[in-house]
Amino acid sequence: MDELIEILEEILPCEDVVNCTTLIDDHILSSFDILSLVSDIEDSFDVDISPAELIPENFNSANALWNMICRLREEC
Amino acid sequence: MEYHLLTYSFLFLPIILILYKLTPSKFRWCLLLVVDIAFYLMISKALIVFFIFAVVITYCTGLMIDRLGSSNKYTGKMLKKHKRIILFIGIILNLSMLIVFKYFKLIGISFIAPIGISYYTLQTISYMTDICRRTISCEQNIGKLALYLSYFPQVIEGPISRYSNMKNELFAGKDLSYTNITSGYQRILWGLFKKMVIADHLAPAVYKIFLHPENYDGTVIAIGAIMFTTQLYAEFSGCMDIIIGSSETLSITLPENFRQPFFAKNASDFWHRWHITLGTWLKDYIFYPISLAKPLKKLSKKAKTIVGINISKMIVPTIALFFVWLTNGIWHGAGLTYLFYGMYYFVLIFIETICEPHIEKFCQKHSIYESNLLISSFRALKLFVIVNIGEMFFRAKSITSGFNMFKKIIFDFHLSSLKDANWGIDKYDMIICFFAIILLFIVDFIHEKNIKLRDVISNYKLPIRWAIWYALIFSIILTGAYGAGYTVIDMIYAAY
Repeated sequence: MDELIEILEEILPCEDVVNCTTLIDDHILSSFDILSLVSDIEDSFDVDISPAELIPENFNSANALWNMICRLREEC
Repeated sequence: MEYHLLTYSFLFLPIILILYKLTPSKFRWCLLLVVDIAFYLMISKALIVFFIFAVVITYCTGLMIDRLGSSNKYTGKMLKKHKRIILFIGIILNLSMLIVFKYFKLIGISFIAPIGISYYTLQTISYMTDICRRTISCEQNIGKLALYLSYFPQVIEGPISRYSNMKNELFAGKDLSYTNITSGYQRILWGLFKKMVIADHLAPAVYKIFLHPENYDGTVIAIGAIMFTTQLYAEFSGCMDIIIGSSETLSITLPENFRQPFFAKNASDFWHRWHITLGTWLKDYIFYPISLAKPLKKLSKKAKTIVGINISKMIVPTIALFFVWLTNGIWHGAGLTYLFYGMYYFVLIFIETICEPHIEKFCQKHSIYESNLLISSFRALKLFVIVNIGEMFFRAKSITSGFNMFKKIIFDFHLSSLKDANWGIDKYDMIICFFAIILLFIVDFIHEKNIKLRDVISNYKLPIRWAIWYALIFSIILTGAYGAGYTVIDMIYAAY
């Protein structure tokens, strides 16, 4: 989880990425940020994020992202 | 039979509704399938063969991907690879028909294309891809898949629906309801009003100006471009009202294709409100797959070490955006004007993506808010100009003709020429159009405020309610462009 927070902080340096639960709903993460985030997550956690995973429920908070990563790891 | 013909709404659709009501619930999807085939045969005749090919290819591809997933032959990355190969073959086979019918004219070979090929091909691709992505399960009944792809209200010009959103209502055989029938017909009426009172009245003037723009000065051409944009909006959104409304009478919900596009704040927002289902299709099946492709990810990583995160994160989406707009342009047709149209929006949205964050920061720093009347008016005017220029090139005979028209607007603009211009429509039609466009603007404004006008009207007392709907009916009968002296104007987007 700490590694994920670091990635998020690098992309969104001015946001409270630990507690925020509306990263998509409040347009904090742009589509460009999402793609950058996907690339970093894939490298760091050795998972493959398909376009089908790019839904708000998976990207709204650090927790949602972490849940997606755990699920994708299990599926690997 | 096209949707805007009165025989569709007031003869064909009522017969379907009666048959639907009389058919037992579990066979209703079979009735819809028979109607779809009859409807398709009526409009495309022998070309239905190509539609059947598309259904069989899509069905087999879906089934093969599904079976591969449930067998133990492959696992992990090998399974993914084999699924992708089957998907690729399915897409190529479906696309090849679209390419032959739509783009072979570039090498001098022309065919009459099956109606709706551009729309149902996109639906076949989304269906097969979603099975491969495991977001939907494969349809085991080929008849049901054929119904989804050929559903009669949407087969000619969309909206481009998704199997996951359609399957429940399409196959459930839900009972008809009085509320849905009346609400659906109210929407059909509004669609007919937009098509027959606005779009079809403007059509002769637009045709005349764009056929020989060299005969007109910049003022008339500018008004001609605005007329075409209005015609296109009234026509396409009007047909969508008829389509979505007729599906609503059967208690089947189709996705919305328009959401007050001229109230958008910029070009990007405009495309979230105009031809919405094409935009979301392009996002899900072009933008994301390209953005997440391995070579582009590698490129992004390399760029990150060289130019830093802020610039590197722009590279991949910009490349994907280029392909989105290239596809958008090409999808509309084989002409260079369509390609130009796509590239025009690519450049504009690219510029917006770079500039908007800086503009927002500037506005925040100087306490300039979006609600500021001056700012919102400037934004609306900017968007209006952008959209009209784009549509002018879209409708122009060629890119050269488009540029000549643009040049005339800039350098040959004389308001005095309006007095003597021959518009090809009489003053009476112009006045009708003017007031109808004002009404369209008011209705869009109300919808933009999140007020559901049909719900509001349905809460009025019966005499007021009926007075409103009768006024709409009589305005179509009395002022609609039909009958002697008018030619039936085909649906513009049915040709794409």
